[in-house]
Amino acid sequence: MKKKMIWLIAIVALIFISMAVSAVETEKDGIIKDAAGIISKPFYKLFVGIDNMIDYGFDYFADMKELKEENALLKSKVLLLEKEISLNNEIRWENERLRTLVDLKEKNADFEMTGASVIGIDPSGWHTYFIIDKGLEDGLYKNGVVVDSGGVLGKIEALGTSWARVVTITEPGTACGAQVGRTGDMGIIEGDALLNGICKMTSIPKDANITPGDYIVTSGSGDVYPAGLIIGRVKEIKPEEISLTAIIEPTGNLKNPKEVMVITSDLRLNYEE
Amino acid sequence: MKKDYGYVFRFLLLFFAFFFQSSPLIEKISITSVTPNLIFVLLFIYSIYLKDSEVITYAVIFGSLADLLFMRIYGIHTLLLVGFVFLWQMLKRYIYTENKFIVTLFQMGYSLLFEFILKLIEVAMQGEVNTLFLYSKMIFLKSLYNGFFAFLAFIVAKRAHLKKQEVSL
Repeated sequence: MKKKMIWLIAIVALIFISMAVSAVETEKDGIIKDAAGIISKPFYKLFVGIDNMIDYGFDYFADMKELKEENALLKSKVLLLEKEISLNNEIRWENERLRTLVDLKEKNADFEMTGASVIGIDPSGWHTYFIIDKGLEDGLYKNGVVVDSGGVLGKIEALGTSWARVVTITEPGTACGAQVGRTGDMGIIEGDALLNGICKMTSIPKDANITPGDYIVTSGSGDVYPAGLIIGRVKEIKPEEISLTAIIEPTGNLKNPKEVMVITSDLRLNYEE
Repeated sequence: MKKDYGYVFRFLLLFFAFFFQSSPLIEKISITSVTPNLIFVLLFIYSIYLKDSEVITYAVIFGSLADLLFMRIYGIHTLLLVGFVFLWQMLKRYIYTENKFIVTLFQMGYSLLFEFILKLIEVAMQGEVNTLFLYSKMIFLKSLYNGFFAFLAFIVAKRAHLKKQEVSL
């Protein structure tokens, strides 16, 4: 029992030391963290593959019921055709998703961007983090902005050689400069625990011309998000004592992101210049 | 005497559970955006039937993996999981662990405590401790969901344990 206690105390002490070491901020995360990401990547890819198979294979299995009513010869032929259709659908859907991302890239021609797939999501289920399959070797950097065809999703918080962890704009405690697309009225986008998956825009001037449905874009203030990226649409406006607060529904797919784009041109250099 | 390779299976089960619960596939079984914590459930069930050194090793491995991939600071999951496994090992002799409903109830209670502490640490790191109560509904739902999975896992584990005892006799 005494030996066991010594072991336990040693483990706990080691964890505390690791905690202190990991708390130090660096541009690239430590070698152990990086190795964990590299080792995990193929397993995450496997699960993403299964997820895609379930998504795209649903129509195929629905059609199977009808096919049972046909004769055996025809059934085997139809089965073969169905398999082909299912495969084509998979390619077509993937193509559509990628095309929307390419459109986005054309809209944001000023930035260099790279596509990435989401391979892991926050296991706590709070939808505030996700892991992508690109990293330092693909030109990504810490605080790099992540978007999809709908708009801004978040920024890179942890970076490995071939993977990165993204923190979403809805994470409580995060903030970014924003403005109303139509009028240019400024405010700050903040994550809010109460809003569960959506965010709020605070510090909007009391006399601002803002209505539900207005698009909210990044203002470019701060050194992370460049100006003009769509964040979301105004859902509701709440008057506060000295300012207005708007509830913003993000237009990016934050609940179940699949393919994303990451800005690879280092915006920090532009700000420094 | 035949060597027991059960630990390989138990490790692989945890391995599968970890990647399943942190991949987009978990969304398929989410209820109102709430997903179960399968690692926590499996470690709890393992604690009933296995010796502490094996379960603590699993807690360190999978807690570390969760910390390395998803946390800003290493050690929060690891420390909590090791602490809970130690707590279960200490208390299991005082708790009647033959009944599946008692096991489920205890799992729900432990889940509530685990998720509450984890969220408390997270919001404290964000400097927004006052928002903790906002997560209470999701924490409660999560513990219910964990309880459901513990119920299923316990039935399977108990059968496997009884079968193993029969074979060894």
